[in-house]
Amino acid sequence: MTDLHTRRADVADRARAVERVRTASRVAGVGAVAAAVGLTVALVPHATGAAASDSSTSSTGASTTGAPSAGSGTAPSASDGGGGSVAHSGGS
Amino acid sequence: MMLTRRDEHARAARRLGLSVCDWPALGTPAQLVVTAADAMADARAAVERVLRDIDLAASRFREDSELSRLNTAAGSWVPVTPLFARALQVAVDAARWTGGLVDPTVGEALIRLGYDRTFAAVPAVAGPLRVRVSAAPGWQRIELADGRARLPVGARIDLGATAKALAADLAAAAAAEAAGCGVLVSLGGDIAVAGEAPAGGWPIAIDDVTDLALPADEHGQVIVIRDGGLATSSTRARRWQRGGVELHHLLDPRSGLPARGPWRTVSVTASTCVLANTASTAAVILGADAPGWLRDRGFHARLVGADGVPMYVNDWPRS
Repeated sequence: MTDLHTRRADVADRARAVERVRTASRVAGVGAVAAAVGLTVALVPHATGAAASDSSTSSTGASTTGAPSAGSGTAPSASDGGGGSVAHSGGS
Repeated sequence: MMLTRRDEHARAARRLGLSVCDWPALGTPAQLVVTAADAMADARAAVERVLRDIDLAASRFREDSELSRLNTAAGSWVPVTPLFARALQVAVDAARWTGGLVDPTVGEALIRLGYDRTFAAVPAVAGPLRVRVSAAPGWQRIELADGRARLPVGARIDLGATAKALAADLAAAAAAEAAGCGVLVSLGGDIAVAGEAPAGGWPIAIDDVTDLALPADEHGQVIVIRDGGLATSSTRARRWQRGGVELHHLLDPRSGLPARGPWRTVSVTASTCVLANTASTAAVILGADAPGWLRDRGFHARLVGADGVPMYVNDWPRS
């Protein structure tokens, strides 16, 4: 009986591990990454990862309720095009 | 002679009666525009004080920074200054707001991918890597209380997604107070404005990459803001290659690998630069669902797909 329970637990653990790997693989596109672009990828499930969760409590005790609104900033407007620009916003 | 973006900014500023200067800071171009030329010196001094303090607190590339000390001591409580505590809290808030899409605990993954020093010193091309596909340790495990912080064992944080935007917000506020006029602060395209805006607002060009040395006519769109912040996140910036693989700095915390969604560049306006940057970064990582995510939260945004075609959300001007 104990052995059977142990085996069942093993199977459940393995199933959960496989699902975590599948999830990570879907997110990363691992097959394509490894095969097409030369990265050597080791699939290692991470037992403690919880970064995608949006329903827990932070270290500061605040509840997690998803993203805030844009706040009180007014919408940007179109430039008349003739005056040029005084700054750039791009990736950096 | 080729007109650069820097030249264009100077010409436009003169035409609008503004004064502009730029210099390198935090590993990126810093730019300051003021509405009163005689206030430039005071404004710049205020901005430089903020940037110096932020760099000492939150740089991943200085051994003497508070962030480096916290990373090195992961697992132990470390005393932190109010400024670093604020930067860390902002990063945790950003993670919470985005359901973990923007997570500071991707620091170790960035290092494993080769971004282990200031970006200018990262080799552009090198041999293949062996990387582990795994979720980031998770922002929920960062502890911050009573002037101390603690990271989980094995975790390292990177505040690149939010600290630069926070610096822009703080610098703009400090400069406006010191100079008593309208100011715009851009840190590599993370833009905050404060004080009274020019009559026609602040005209800003939107790009894939912030590079003031590029030709002036190579940008996507010019928009005008009057308050708050504007940020752009792009997979076209901070790229490097390992084993023939193109990598970039916007990591998906769910895999620890560069985001592979359909958007190469996302620009967002909001009430603060921190909020704008958090939303633009989250949108790149979220991928196909990003337009709806931004729309539902009231953000005005411009998303550029891999084919270069822009898509607009809410009241971002169409042009």
